[in-house]
Amino acid sequence: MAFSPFCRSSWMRRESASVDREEAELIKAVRAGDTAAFEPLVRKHQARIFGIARRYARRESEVEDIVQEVFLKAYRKLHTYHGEAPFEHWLSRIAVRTCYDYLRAHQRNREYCFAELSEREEDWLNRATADPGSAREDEEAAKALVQKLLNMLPPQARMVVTLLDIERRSVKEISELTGWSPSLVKVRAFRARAAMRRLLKRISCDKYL
Amino acid sequence: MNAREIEKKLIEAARRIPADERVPYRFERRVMARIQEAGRNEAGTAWAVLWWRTAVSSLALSLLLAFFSLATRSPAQSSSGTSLAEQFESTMYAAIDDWNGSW
Repeated sequence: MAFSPFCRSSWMRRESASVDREEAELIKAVRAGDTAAFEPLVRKHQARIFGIARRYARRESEVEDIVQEVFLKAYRKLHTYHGEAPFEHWLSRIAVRTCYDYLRAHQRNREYCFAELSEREEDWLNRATADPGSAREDEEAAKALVQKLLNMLPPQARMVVTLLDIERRSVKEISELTGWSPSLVKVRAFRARAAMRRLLKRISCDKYL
Repeated sequence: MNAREIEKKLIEAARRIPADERVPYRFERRVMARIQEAGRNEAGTAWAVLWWRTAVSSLALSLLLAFFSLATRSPAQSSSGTSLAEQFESTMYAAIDDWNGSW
């Protein structure tokens, strides 16, 4: 039997409401002192938090540390969650802020060396410089190159480029996630894009001079 | 070089990278163990803080009382041997003194 769009949406609403209720009960139990009730919440949301953390940290051990820290913070701050927004959003906010703290703590380790570009990355850059339209091939090289560029950006710039340009979140969403005002997000986005272009120019200068 | 154009291409490439949501085996168990460990440490820390505060406030109170008893001790009292400290002591031990007297 095929679901009509109306049936499907109402079924989804019911399903989501029951999930929310279950989640709310678990949160209530944790607040009442039942630590074990936190485990299903971790199991449910950990994949998403790993996805967020892997955008900012490269080493798997660092990613795991970040995710662990996120859940530890969530457990400690659970009394501040009042259920106005879905639990997942609240958790994502903690994750983004923890990742930002991680970036700030590790900003001295950022790479400034462009000599480490692989042959494929250089090749991609050469083709993109000569004819930007032809740079579609060798996606892997482009991905590696953008990862290197992001590693070279300051924490604020990396955060805003990732959230705004790569994850395509709105300014309002970023403002809620990071705690920055919308105008600050816009200013930081403008500066981040300029920093990224400067880095690209530096790469080309290093290469051709 | 058109940096803006290349930046656009790079961002497009980055968008095509799917979020890597792999989770290590039984990661939730690790998180729970960490939470329980942190809870135990926090309980220990809370006790240590409580004991430390009690010790500090007791010391401050005893110093304050010593200072007060010395400050309120007049020369006449000191000669007659009825300082505040002595009065306090005799009040505290009054019951025992009476009990000793009843033997």
